[in-house]
Amino acid sequence: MLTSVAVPIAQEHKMLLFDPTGTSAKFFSPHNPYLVLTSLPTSGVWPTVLADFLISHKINKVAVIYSANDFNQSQAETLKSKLEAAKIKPVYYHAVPTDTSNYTVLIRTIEATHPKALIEFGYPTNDIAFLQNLQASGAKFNMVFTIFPGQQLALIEKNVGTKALEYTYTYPTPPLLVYNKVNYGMPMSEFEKIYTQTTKRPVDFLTVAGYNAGLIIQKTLATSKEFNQLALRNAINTFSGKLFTLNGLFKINNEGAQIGEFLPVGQFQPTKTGIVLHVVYPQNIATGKPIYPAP
Amino acid sequence: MELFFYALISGILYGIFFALVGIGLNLIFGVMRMVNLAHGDFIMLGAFGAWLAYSKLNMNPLLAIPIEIFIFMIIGFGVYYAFVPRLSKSRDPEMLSFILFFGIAQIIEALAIFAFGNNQKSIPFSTLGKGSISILSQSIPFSWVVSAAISLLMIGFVYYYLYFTRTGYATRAIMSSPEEASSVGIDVSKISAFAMGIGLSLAAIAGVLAPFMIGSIDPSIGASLTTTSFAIVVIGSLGKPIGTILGGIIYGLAMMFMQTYLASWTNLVPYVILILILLVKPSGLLGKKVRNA
Repeated sequence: MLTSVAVPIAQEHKMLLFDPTGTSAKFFSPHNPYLVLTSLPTSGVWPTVLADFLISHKINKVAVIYSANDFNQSQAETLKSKLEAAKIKPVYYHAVPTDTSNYTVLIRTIEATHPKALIEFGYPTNDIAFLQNLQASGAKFNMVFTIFPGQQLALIEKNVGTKALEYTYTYPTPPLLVYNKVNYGMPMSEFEKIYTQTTKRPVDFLTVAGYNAGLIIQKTLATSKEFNQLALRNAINTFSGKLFTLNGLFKINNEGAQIGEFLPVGQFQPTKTGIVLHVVYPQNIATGKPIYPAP
Repeated sequence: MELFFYALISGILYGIFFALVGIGLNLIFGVMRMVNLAHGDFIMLGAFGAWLAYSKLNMNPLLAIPIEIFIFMIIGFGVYYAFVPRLSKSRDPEMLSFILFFGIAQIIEALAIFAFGNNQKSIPFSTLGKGSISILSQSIPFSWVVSAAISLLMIGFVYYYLYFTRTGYATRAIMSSPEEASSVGIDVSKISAFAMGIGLSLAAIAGVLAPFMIGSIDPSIGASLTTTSFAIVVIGSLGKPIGTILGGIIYGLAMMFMQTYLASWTNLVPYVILILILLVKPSGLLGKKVRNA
């Protein structure tokens, strides 16, 4: 929300904006050199791996419900176009207002289309309401995907309970996705240890994104030969694609959008002590196999 | 057809809850001719009361209802005696009440952000009962049925109060004409303060049920709840608390049918119905024509 306001202000005043997590595709354009996204790819490319997962597992009846905003719409559109390219037409594809807090009837409507996978793109509030309503409705789907359990697990788990997350899928991000081989800053294990000791709080994705933004700014200031905005931007180009942090590869395109990181597909699988997230796709980084259909 | 029945049953249950959301606002307007623009914020406070009871005191949120009724009755008396008599003496009490309660709404929201932060809070639906219940072969979440049943009980209480108690007769007399009620010996001020207390208590009870019907809560939900309440009240008829039941059910049904068949347009529902009602029957569905002598 804040990024949408900050982007035009920064551009108008010719000030370089370091954007930690504002990924909406509409923020980025070739005409704006004053924006650098430090964590997460732009939202439009988030579902790329998810689409590949659905296609490779021959899940050909897909329902997509998304909140009507740039962030979620761009993901829904990408997913739809990739599925349609593989000759899979979603059996349900609808936007709902972003402030939707009750999905009970919507879930029932989707259930009537008998999908093999239900994908919900929303903000954390949408995901919480959706997962709560899904559990209360008693409806069962072979596969359920939501975005924010992979980024703000503690918040979502506290609100919906562990049971509601069992067998659901998400995009895992650090610290659920661990990058210990870094060439700049602390690796995840060390950061997690120091952060938890210092603040007495658990690390979540936003914490990692904040630290990562600090690293990028630090590297920029250390690299730039002059202290003006375009020199800072050019300095970023010199290390883009070469920097590995606890958030993965930092690489931006000519619009300032992050393209180094990618979001795999993960599934929360129950254990005796709770749930554990396994990366289930792509196979080269998988830590477990998907349990599909969900029991 | 199955979807139609599901939307129908859900709409009625959702509507009954929203009747409770609106009925306190209408009672206060009916008695005092003042629009409580902080109504949604009192609902939000009630919701946070339930959340505190559940998350901090480990209580079933429903047990917060009697405590909240007591607290909000006192708040109602306080709000009434602090503001309403002075407003009533002004040249344009209705307009000034808009401004006053708008200010109160802003203060409540700001204080709630200080107290609870901006993050969403929710209560697991299972605290009102796990799973779902079959109604006309449709599987409805149990928490919805419980919430609607409590809402119906509270609406029944308002009906009983207004039509079968001496204080209720006096309240209706004031709704009809405060001057005539006063001339026959009714203590308008005392009854009005009581009505304010009941109105806010009803808002608080709706707040306790809100996490189960509208999902997660945060300090900013008050404004939209006020708008929705106002639309429901106008649909039923301003100043007629029982009309709010009709307004609530129409709203609930419209919301659920729109979600089923035209999901993207759901948010337009209360406003479209409101405009239609204002065009076709400005006095509301249960409103009577005003005769000007």
